[in-house]
Amino acid sequence: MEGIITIISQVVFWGLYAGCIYILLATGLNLIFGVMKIVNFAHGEFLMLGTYITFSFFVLSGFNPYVLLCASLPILVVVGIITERLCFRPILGTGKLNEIFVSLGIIYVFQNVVAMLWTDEWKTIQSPYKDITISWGSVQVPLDYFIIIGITICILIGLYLFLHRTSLGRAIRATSQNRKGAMLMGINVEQMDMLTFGIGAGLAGAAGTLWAVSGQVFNPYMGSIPAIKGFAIIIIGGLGSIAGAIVGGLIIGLAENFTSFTLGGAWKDAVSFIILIIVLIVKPTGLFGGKDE
Amino acid sequence: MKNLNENILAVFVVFTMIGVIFFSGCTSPVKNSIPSGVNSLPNSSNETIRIGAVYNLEGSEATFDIPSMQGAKLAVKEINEQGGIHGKPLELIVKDGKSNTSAVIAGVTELAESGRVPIIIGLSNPDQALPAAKAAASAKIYFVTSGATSPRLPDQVPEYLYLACMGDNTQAAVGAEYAAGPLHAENIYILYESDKQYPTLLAGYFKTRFLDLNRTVQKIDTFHSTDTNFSSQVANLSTLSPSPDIIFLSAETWADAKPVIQEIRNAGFTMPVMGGDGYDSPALLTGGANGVDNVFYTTHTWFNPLSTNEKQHNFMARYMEEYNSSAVPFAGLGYDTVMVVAEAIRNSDSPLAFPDGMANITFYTGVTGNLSYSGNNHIPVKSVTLMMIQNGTLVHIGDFEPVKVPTP
Repeated sequence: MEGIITIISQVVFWGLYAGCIYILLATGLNLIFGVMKIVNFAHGEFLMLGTYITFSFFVLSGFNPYVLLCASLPILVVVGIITERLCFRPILGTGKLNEIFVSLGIIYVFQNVVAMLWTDEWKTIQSPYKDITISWGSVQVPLDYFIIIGITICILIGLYLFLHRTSLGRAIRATSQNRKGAMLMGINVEQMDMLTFGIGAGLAGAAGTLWAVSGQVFNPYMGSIPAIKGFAIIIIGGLGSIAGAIVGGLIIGLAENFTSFTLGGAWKDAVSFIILIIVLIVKPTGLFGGKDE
Repeated sequence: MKNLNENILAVFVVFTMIGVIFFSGCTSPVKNSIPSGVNSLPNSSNETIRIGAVYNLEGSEATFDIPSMQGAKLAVKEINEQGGIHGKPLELIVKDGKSNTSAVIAGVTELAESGRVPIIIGLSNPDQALPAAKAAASAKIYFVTSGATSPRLPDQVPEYLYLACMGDNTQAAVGAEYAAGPLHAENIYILYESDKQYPTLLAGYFKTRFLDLNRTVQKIDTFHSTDTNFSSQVANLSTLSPSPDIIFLSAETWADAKPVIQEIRNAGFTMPVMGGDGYDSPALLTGGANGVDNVFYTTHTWFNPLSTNEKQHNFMARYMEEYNSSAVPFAGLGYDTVMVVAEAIRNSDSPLAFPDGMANITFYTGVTGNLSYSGNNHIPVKSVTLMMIQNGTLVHIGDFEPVKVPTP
């Protein structure tokens, strides 16, 4: 019995860690969708860029890779702002099909640029704490996972404080709730779009850093599947709901690891979409979605 | 007068068209009446003996098939330099499968319908070799695969399919016996690429032989060729107590295996990782051997640059001269396949008697080792080479024959 509890605890920890990366990715995606109502399939490429920025700074500087969050997050904010200005603003409101094709085009551009600069070989970096595990009863958990969970919580608290305690954050929320109303209140909604897109990309960049630090491999084409899962998570959680993205990310992270443990790793992608289908049948607006979503 | 000329011209044109239609109608049955496949070439005097080849010269399979094709072409060149087969020159007609099964079947069909080839060789992937051999068999053409190692293939296409390489059950048995023997492995974690036939079969044979040796398989896990992260597999590995002594990682190609090994190593697991001949590719050590040390794999041969084996030495030298690159095992397989087919044709009175010719190959010394097709066996008896990646270099552990081979 103790053995089973140990294994379940171990799987729960791995699920929480995987969920953290999904949460950051899906929260950014949801923020962008909430404010701009655009469908950005290239969101996974921001995660991919985050892994490569972390990798490059790590190779060049030899700094602790966790410190490199200070580089990947702001760089991706800038990349996000540029992407919004150049690619999405011109087509905003012209139809979902345009948004989808622009985002598909961005995927190819980012992938090819990264492959050109870094080659398409799988890359990896190692955390300085990779050999340290923390014993919790009979459960052995790598220190990195505690750090990743802690960093995710800090980022989410920071995001919450920004959105609720600053005027810019309140302006973003107002734009998300009622775009025309926000314009009537004198809020520069285009500026809010730009800022939101930057924050969303920055969160994906942070997820990329945590992805790389945790020892996972990455190549220029690794962003697509996380992006699709990100969409599944925000639909499960409820479109536009940050709380939904957090809960959805945790559900997917835990479900993937339990499925992988019981049925094999090849099933881990399928389970996300099985949950998505179930949620859409039972509650089509998602777990935290309102009636109008 | 002008009208008369025009009428004559019109009548001429009509008759010409009728003539064209008539003769084309006549030629069509004549063309169709040429028997296809093996019946079209027997003992044809004066002409060249032609062998068809289907190899993937682009895409994911090209890593195996380009060297195989080059080796096959080199063999044809050498045979012709030595006077051909029964005094007739040999020609290899190559079709590109483009790593796409439809294109592979189209290539085989085109070769079969040409009525010019009695035998087709090629391919390294059983998922492609099976439909290719079936298409060839339907035209009564023999198919000799140079690198598809599934031992089930000959039963799936009875009579018409031969392997010129070892079977997966043989290489898995050698791996399992080495793991249980010199590596002293008691417990093992098996991870295989479940959306491909070759790694699935290989993992199954390995498991059968390892259990047969009274060892323990702690967990069998899967991944897909399209996966981009392997954290849940690493999570499963970390739940095992005690930690496995060895990981058997069965992947279609080295490109599929390498990121999994890197992620396992990044998680702090240092035990040996073992795989099959899918690991063996020219890209094995490119991009650095970062995080891939302590890896064992079974393969077809080892082309040691310092080899004293004259046949291997000559092959390596000629291959380098011809293609300006070092020979890899799959190049040797392509070479040996053509040599075996040529030997079978020599052994028989005509290409029609190809099975008899193959059955008469009781001992052939190839560049990838000695092989024989005794009796009615369509899979050669052949030794298996075991290699290791250590400190970023390849180490030849040895050549082995298994004590017991799982049934296909």
